[in-house]
Amino acid sequence: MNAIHILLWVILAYYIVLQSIYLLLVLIGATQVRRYHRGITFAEFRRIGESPLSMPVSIIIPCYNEAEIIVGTIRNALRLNYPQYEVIVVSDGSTDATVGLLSESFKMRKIDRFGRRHIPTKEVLGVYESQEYPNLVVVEKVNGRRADAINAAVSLSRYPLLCIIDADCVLDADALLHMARPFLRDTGVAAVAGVVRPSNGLSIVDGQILSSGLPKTLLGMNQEVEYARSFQWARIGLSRLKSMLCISGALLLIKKSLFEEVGGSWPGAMTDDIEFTMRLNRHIHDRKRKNHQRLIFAPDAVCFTEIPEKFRQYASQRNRWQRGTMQAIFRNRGMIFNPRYGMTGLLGMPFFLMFEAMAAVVELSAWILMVVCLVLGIATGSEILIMLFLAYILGVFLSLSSVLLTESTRLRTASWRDFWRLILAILIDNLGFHQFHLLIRVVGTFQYILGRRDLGAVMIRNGNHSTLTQHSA
Amino acid sequence: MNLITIALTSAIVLTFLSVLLLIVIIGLRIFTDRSLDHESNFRKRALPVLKGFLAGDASADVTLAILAKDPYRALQLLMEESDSLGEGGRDKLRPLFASFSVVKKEISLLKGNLWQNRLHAAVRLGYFGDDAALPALMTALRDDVVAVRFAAARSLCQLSCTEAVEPIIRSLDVPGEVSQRRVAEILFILGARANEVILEILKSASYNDASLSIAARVAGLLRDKLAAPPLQNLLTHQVPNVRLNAVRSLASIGDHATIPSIASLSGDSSWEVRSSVMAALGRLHARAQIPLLLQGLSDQEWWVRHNAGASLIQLGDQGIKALRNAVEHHVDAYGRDVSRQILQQQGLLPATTESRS
Repeated sequence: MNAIHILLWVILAYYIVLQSIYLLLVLIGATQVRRYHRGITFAEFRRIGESPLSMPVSIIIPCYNEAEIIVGTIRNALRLNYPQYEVIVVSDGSTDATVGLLSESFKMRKIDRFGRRHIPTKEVLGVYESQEYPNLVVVEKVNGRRADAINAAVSLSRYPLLCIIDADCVLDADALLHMARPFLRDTGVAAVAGVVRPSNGLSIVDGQILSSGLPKTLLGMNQEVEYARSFQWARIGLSRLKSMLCISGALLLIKKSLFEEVGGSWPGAMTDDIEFTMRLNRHIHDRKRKNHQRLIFAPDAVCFTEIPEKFRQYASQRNRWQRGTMQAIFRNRGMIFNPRYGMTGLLGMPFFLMFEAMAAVVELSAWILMVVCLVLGIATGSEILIMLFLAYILGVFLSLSSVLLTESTRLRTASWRDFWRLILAILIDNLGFHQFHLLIRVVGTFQYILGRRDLGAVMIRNGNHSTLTQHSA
Repeated sequence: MNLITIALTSAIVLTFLSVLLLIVIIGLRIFTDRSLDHESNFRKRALPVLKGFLAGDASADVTLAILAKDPYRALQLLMEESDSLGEGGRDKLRPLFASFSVVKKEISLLKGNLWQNRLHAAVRLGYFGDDAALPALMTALRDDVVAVRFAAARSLCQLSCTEAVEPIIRSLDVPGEVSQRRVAEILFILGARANEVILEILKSASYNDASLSIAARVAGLLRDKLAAPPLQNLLTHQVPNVRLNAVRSLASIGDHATIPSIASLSGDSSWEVRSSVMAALGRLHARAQIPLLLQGLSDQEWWVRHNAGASLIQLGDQGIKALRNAVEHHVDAYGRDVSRQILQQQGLLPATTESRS
């Protein structure tokens, strides 16, 4: 057996293990979603919404040059069904009209507000309170990246639970109720993650979701499939296995005390959400600390985020995510195969390293190897086609599984037209889009190794929230 | 069998499974669409009749004839309606619930092995208004699953079972403030009927800290003046959470005679207790305690400082004057900051307030 054969077997074994884990996650995800929904009792969310004893929440929205969309995001946050909460928007050194726009839209006045500064941050230039909405606070500070903005808001927050969302996020009206529920049922819950889905295609007026819909472009549709796979079974399956090492920064509810104990977000991170989640896992799953706390995934707490629909923006975003993943793993490498962190160290971290961070490199190697085999006559064209078809149909099967799980929930596509568009996107997902994504991630991996640590190009918003907001106004 | 044959076989099997999965998804989608349509139509027909029945415009027979077309959804609808009605209004729905004869089935589910079934049965039995469910619900208070115990407790209170107060407190004295709040909220459903038992628990020495915390909290929610003396005794309890709930409840009851006892906890080792003491002094309009509140402005915890400032505002002119004075002359920088902050929040310090434009 020569070197190429050995390599072929290694890649095949890798692929079989990866797909087996995915199938296992689909099964676990399906049972967990069913279990979750069966555990919800009649009028439970209404009771949480009406109870004066529900735990109050500080919603934190960091933003940098988000004048296009921020007003819509805040209006959405101010409309949530929840008994007691405050909204803290942090302008992280914005150079556009963000702060002026907020002052104009919400009648802000400067106040002196101080908090306990457990985590050092860049200088806070001013704190403003809305005269129309007493629970809205805007913080203006010197630029220090998203993580620094979050840390500054945490210092000024008042409530025991922190809900961290992105500036382009539109929350489902009941999202907070669904995320707060686990905290009320179990004192051991440390943080709750929710579902994130693309907002492109939704009809949003004044921060209010009027109707559902799917993105218009092919790239958007492919991301819709990707988000569905990631959030519909992967996260919930991983959370069951104590291996949810990536909670999207777009929707996280966490105990303030724990956020401070962990040391807050790390401003040096390229993807602060992934890095923070890993550190959080490290903190709560450390057997020596005996925390006995858990991370929960709430499959019915939904947040919609704007996804890039232009290839250049998409490439920049995914390149940063790949570099950020590598950085976060490297920073927390002590957890890998470390029994001190239980299942997280023995399963979650190795899985994340081998099948998330390194997947692109391995898959690209497989593609190259196929070409080599073809050129050297080790494999025939039809044999290569069979292998490619197997990979393709496995991807289709896994994506269809996520559609099946979605169909019985509120997230199902509203119309048959959208349903068939989604199926079409699944069928063509592995015919170019996936390979493009792969290439971006490989480039990101090598750029990380070569020392690239910047945040890439700033995402240009479509501004669909704000356009409609202004239109409605 | 070589590798390619295995791959080909796997691909064919997966193709078949994918097609099958797609057919299942389409089937599920059609079923869900029809189910949603059916539910919408049922509600459109049943809800006006049900409202008419409650207003006395429709007879029970006519209402039941409509509801009987879909018993499962009818029960859901009745439960929703029951939730929106007051306690007196709920009684009107009892004959409708009774006509479905589901209590026995729910009791058997409550005794079953699946915890989800037990949970939902425990919730539903509270709505049906049938006292035959009481023994099974009392037994469910000893369920292994905490959520089932909570559901049973709520249902017992919905059924006005005052005998359940003590067993509820004993079975749900799980640690953690949130859980204790939930129990207190459930017992609050009983209203003044719970006073007597709560008072006994507060006076007794045989209950653990969690039970005492819950009882103290409920006494505060019910604002029972008779509970003030035993609550005062709990101010010296060794567990901070018990002291905390005693202070909060005394503030809710509003008995001015308890002010000195509450003020004596201003130096408590727990910041939560100190914070609630500051808030309580404001709620009780304890003007004589202004020096203590001014002292609270320099506490090491932000919440204590904030509550001290907010309470000074609640004391009217005297308190506001003291707070204005603290902005300039308080010995502690934190005290000056929080005083300014509170006054600005109330719009009482216009000199340093500036609008951003």
